[in-house]
Amino acid sequence: MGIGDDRAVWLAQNILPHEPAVRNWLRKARHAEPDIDDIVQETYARLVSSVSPDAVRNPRAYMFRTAHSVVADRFRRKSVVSISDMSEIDGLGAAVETLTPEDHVGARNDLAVLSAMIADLPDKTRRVFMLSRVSGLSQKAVAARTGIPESTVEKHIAKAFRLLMAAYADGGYNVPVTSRERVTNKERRKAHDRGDERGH
Amino acid sequence: MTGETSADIDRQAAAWAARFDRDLSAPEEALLEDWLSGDARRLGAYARARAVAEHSRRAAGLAGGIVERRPAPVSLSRRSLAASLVALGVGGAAVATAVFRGPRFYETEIGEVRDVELPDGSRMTLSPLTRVGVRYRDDNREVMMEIGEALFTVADEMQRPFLITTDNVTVAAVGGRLLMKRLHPSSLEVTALDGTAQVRLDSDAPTRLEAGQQLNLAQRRAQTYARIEPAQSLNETEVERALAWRDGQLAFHNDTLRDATVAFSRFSARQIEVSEPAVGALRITGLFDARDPLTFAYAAAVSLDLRVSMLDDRIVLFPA
Repeated sequence: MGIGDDRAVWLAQNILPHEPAVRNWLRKARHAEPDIDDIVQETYARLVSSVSPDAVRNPRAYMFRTAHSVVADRFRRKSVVSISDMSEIDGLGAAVETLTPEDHVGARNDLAVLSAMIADLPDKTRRVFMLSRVSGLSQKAVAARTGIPESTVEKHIAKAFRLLMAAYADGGYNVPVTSRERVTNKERRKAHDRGDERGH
Repeated sequence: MTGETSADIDRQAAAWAARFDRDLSAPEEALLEDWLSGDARRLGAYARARAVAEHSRRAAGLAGGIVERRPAPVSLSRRSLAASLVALGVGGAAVATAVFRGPRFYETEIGEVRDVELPDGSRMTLSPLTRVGVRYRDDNREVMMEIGEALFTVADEMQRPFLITTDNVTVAAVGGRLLMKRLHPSSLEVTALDGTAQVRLDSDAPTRLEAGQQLNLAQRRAQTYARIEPAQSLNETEVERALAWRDGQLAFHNDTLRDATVAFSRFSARQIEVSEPAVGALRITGLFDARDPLTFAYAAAVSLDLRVSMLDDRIVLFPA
């Protein structure tokens, strides 16, 4: 299944803003950063393959519940579950109800945050992305206007999406894109060194 | 679950979202389905990538513009400079065109409103399709206004005047805010919003502009401006109207439709046209979202008894 524009817009408006809070909750439950990334991806997968958006009354609670069920399923797949693992799942209700300061800022300064994230893109990528998003040109038109080949325009757009995805994970604050990537790479190397099946 | 890391999956998801952004071919759609079914996390990552892609379209409504926070990299050699100019297309944004001691140029795209902070704490807000060059020396600060419209907030420095130059005109700002408008070389509008300014043509005695005053100049022959009338005083509403573009809005007051369509063309790739000159000569008043030419066209059609037609990607206004 693809993701239609309507569904993508719904996710952007109703789910994406709560992602930092969900990640914080998982962090407090002492999940490792790569595991959090996995859990978030699985959460989105379930969010888009289950109900229609219209049925969701409280997107924030719905996202927390879905993330919670992903975590619970991961525990079920583990052969040994410790007591401390089970206590990790607690605190869900409180996390859903508590609006963090980021939530307030996020709602108010949505555009300012987006602006800061775009400003932090590498120069060439930023220029291509601006033409695509701010000026509303198609990739073909961006290529024609800048003389950059279409395939390269597409690569810049992909890069911008990837960096923004990393920035959105933290709510776009401090935009720790590079540090996140560095952490991820380090974790991957460690996994590889351990001969972990996750490394490859 | 595959052995991929979530970062790998994010990277591929972003690549798919970028392909989707330019439309997928039928074989690509099949490949996407295939990829998505390979790991539960992939659909989630792709959904996230699509959400980010759609959300970033909101950048079109950026009111204050993108704040430039980092200096552009300075090219180290003429060859790499030439290469980057080719790569960026002629006149790339924020590219230093002369590497050594030359001015640094700032250029905005259609729809882009950008705040730039200068080394002395002065700021400039560039409207779309604007190009200026900045050169700071020991004894003065110079901004060369090539084309477009820009608002300058000048940091006061007694020892180093802030000069805005274009052709034979030099505007010296003494603190405060100053608006320069040169959408076409044929006319130049200098407005002192607060603080005062001295406008000098060639080496004539300067004209002093008080806060709230505007001076209109016209180009009579190439690269030479002349005064066409004494400075006018603007009231508060007129000042607000002149600055509406900073908030992504366009304010018209008894302006011709022709001028209005030109104003919109700076903010949106989607062009509005008039079917004939008589339509273009009709006059309109109102405050509009600069990035929403279609709503403007319908509003104009209703108030001026016109008809809106979509031709390809253009919006055309016809007599009813």
